[in-house]
Amino acid sequence: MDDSRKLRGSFAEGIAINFLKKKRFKIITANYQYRGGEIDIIAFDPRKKELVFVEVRSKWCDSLAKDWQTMPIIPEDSVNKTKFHKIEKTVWFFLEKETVSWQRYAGNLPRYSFPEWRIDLISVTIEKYTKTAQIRHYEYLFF
Amino acid sequence: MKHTSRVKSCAVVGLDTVIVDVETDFFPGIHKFNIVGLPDAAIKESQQRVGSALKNSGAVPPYRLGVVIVNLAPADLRKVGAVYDLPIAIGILSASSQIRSNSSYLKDSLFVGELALNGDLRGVKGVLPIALSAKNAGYKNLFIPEANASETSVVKGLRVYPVKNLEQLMLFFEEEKNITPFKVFREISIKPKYLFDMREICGQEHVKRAMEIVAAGGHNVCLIGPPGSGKTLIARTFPSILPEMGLEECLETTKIFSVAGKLDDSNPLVRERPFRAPHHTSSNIALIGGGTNPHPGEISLSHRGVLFLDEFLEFPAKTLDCLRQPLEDGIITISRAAGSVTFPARFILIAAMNPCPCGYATDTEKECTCNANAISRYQRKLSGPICDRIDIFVDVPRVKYDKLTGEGGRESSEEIRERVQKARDIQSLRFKENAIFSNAEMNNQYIKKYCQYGQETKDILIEAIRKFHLSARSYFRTLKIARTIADLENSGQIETRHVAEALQYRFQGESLIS
Repeated sequence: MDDSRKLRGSFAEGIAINFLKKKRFKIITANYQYRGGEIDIIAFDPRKKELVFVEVRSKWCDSLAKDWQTMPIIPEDSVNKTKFHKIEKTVWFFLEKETVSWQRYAGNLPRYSFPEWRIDLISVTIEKYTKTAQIRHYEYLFF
Repeated sequence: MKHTSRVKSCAVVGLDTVIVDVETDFFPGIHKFNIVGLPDAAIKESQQRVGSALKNSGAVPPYRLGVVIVNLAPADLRKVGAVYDLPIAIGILSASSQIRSNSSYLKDSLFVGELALNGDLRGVKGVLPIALSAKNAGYKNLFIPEANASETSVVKGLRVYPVKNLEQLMLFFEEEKNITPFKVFREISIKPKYLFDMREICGQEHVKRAMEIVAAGGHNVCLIGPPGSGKTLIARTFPSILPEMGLEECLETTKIFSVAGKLDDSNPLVRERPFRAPHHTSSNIALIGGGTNPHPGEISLSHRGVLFLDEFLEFPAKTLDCLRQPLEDGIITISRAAGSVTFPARFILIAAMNPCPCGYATDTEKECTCNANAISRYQRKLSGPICDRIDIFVDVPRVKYDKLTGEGGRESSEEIRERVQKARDIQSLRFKENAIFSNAEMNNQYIKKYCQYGQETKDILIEAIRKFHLSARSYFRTLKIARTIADLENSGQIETRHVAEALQYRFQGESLIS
């Protein structure tokens, strides 16, 4: 991965974290990696009392269209089944290995039981020059 | 905000049609496009075509609308073909409010058409049955590809909109630009064209006479003769002496051709009686129709026309026996796992065959090289039941040299056709209250009712039965032919000479060869 993509990724992740914080989500960790799988943001949704695993997709664009549906390329296009399953696998690793970190928010649960969780997608389209971004948040990602 | 829409389309099952509701719903999320309601592969792939067509027509494509679900109701009917591209596209446009969803056009219109990636509409099969059923079901408008518009020219009382591309249709719904409805009823003034004329046939006067009777009564005929005697030419000329098709018959035939996808702009309406001559290697399915999604076979394509089976005995016995029921009933019911459909198949069968394997058994000049055993084996291929359904057997002998070169005095097809038409008129008057059209369709009950003869004729018939060992069926068949001959002479009662002529046309079996 070249540097500009990495840079864009971390930039978009920052935007996404701020977005979630504004929505009063509790951020648990960012860039959780295990055995080749990665989860961009892990957070806790206090309203629905759910662990939220967030995948952030981002794209540069020359100018933001008011109506995103008319844009030729959007970040959502690059999500697919394989990526989803990879995230799902990493989620299970996280739930089993990192009990301590999620117990702080979801509370103590009996052994072998897990909190409610979901996978979300946040798409960030960033205008190249003004660095303004357009965010869309999809809950309950499923394939 | 409601994100659903309902657009009507039409499925063709056999020759019948079923109105299909195309319901569209969408909700936000990562893009998914599901088509449910037993679609086949062509419809599943239509999501790609619809997506591209919508994008290239300047609309928001389905992959920007999140999760899109399209339901084709009724759910238990298997949907086949690409005709649902257009209704799905319109459904998506309407559900996402890109066209006015309260437009009255959506409620009382049917949409049919296949989309190209650039938004153009491609022609589809079976538009005529769809147009007819749209009219009968009380729909006011029909949106079809421009390529199919001429097919609907005979359907009155329905506004048919020939659509060039999706963009044009979107503008139409915004009422910015109108599509002019197809000028519907076009007077059928085109006269049928015939490739051959009876005038071209040298000699064979008795065969021509037999063909005239065949045409007049709608009988089935078998031509028996040595190679090169003109059996095939006579059969090909036969459609030219058949009466012209009425509008009703035209529609029936055109419907079948429409479903089979055999219509184009140059002949939107089948005016000539069809003449089908399948090769003797044709399979059963090719002949009678079938397939996973049953399509009409040769016998249905020759409905109201002629099915010519050249080298009749070279057809596999099984294939010939398939013809038994359609010859009797005039319809063919094809049943498959997916369901059963009925196609009409009322045709005149012309069979041509040689009397023996070498072909010269009845020839006066060339010696036959077959032994008696081979000949009887050859003729045994003609099974009894099929034989029974063929009314007229004609011997077609070799044409002598002086006849070949002689000129003049021959009748043209038109003159014969006029006589045939008169005989048919008499028949249609006679069978006005019965559900049949021609003498050939008479059953025993009708024969008793309509074939009256005098004492003298009765004596001859009794004599014939005794001498030729006529079976009950042959007796009735003789009467049927005699009835047609009498009709040709405009004679109310069957006279002795009519019966005498009819007796010539019975199957003489192996006695042919002697």
